Amino acid sequence: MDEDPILAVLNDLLNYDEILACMVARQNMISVMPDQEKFDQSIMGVWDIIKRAMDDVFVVIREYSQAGLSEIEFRLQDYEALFYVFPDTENALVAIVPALSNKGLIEIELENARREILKIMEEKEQEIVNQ
Amino acid sequence: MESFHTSKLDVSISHSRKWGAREAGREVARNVIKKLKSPPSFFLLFSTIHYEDHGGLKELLAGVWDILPKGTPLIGGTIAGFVDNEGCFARGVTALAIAYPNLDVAVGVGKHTKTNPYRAGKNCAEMLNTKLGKSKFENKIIIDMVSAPTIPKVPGVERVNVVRSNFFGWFATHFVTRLCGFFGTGLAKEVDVIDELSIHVKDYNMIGGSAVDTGDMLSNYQFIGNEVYTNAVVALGLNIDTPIFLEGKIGVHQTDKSFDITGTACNEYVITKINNESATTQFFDLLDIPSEHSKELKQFYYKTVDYFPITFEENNERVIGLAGIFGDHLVVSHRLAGKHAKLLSITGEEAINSIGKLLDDKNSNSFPFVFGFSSAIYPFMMGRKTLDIKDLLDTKLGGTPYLIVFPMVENIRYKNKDPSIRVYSTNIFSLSANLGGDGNNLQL
Repeated sequence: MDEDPILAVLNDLLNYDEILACMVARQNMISVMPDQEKFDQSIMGVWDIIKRAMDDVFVVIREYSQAGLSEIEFRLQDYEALFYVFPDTENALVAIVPALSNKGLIEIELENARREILKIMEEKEQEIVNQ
Repeated sequence: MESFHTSKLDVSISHSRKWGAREAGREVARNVIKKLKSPPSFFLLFSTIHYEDHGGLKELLAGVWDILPKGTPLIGGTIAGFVDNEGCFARGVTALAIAYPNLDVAVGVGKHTKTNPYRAGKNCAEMLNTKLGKSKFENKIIIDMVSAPTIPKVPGVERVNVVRSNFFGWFATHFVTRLCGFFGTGLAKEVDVIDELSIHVKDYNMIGGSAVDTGDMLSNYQFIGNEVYTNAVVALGLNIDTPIFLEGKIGVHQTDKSFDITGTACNEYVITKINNESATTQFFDLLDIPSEHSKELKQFYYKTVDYFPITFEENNERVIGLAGIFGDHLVVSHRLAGKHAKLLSITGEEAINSIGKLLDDKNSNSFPFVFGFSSAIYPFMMGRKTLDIKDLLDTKLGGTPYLIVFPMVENIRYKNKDPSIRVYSTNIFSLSANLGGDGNNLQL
């Protein structure tokens, strides 16, 4: 069976040294996530606390995504979690990167990934409408 | 205005996003070549550093030569990212090729820029002059790539450009930086390389930049033919029958803060004293950063310093950035150009607007292509907003093929004038019968 195209985009992001983990998620629900074994194992020690913090951030995303909230980030210990919200949804592309990494370049590739995922979502939606 | 779209000039720009070096090299060359009607007159190749860990840069080049006609003049190097008609990327390989009958091309290289920058610049110029001396075409430009600084490997010491210890800072300033030039690492000395190169090619315009990685300053590569260098200047000289358009613009504003540089080291690449006090402490004071915050030195370096370039009362075309903090000492991106420094600042909007101003009054019919170098600090600062540069270029240039790459330091030079070497700028090159570009935009 072909790989889910969104999963393919996420797996591609994990090729970057600086992207330790990534997923498409919403509050209390991970929509698409690569195999956790592909994540940088250094974050596993703090994975539970990062996930709990993420759930709290999704409360904010849910509240304000309709108002145009497009991006949110937090720093926890030696890591930063970046949330790129998909417009008009409560979903976000989430990436965990090391604190004080060159985030500018990573953000460019995350934005490219977000746009690619958005396109896939729209195509899927269109397919459903056509059916 | 002469239309190039119907002339014999053929321009092709493309890229590959494949991860494997060999496959990416093949794909970018194939994509570029297939859009040309005749074999390329020359080939400019730029890649991000990622191929270092995915097969190697030699393998990338080997992939290009699997496809590229043998003997095509080729130069290039590693850059932080690029923008072309198809997107804005911080990973991948891109190329520009031109096929045109009325031009002469030559490539040159000067090795060991960090050990002997003057000899490297001179050797490179001599190679170009030897091959182009008898060219009948009077419009001339050199496109160059110089190795940017690289942090040396010192046993037992982490490779970082921020060191808190004053003792290690002093040691690094006075010993490590002097020694590492002999091992092909350390300060880049682009000013010396480009100054010397330009002296020997007086009637050439120049545009170029410094090869870099993702900004960590651990490694960078320069390409010429099928060779890959780590400590060299490479250049492509072009003599052509068509007038050259060359223009540069810097995206910064002046603040009301200035300071006197009262102590320097390493041939003016390190500031040891500002206003006769510790350079680092004075710089924090200047930015009104409380001393307790200064303890977070890495936080300051990675989050703040990019927003505060420095220029000089003596030469405001030279704009430098802070490249490292060694205890009490500040390492700068390239050589100081005076003792009376002025602090500048920048916003993302200014960066984008500066690129827009370069293309004021231009449209999709103005140029057959646009190629340029824009500061790597822009994507470092702007992150995802860097994609706005592509939107701007699409709006201004329509379907005109364009490629802007992000090097560490940019250089531009109008023939018979002094080169301008700086960060935070964008310089563009094209061919145009009516739009010469006069260099007035180089001023702040």
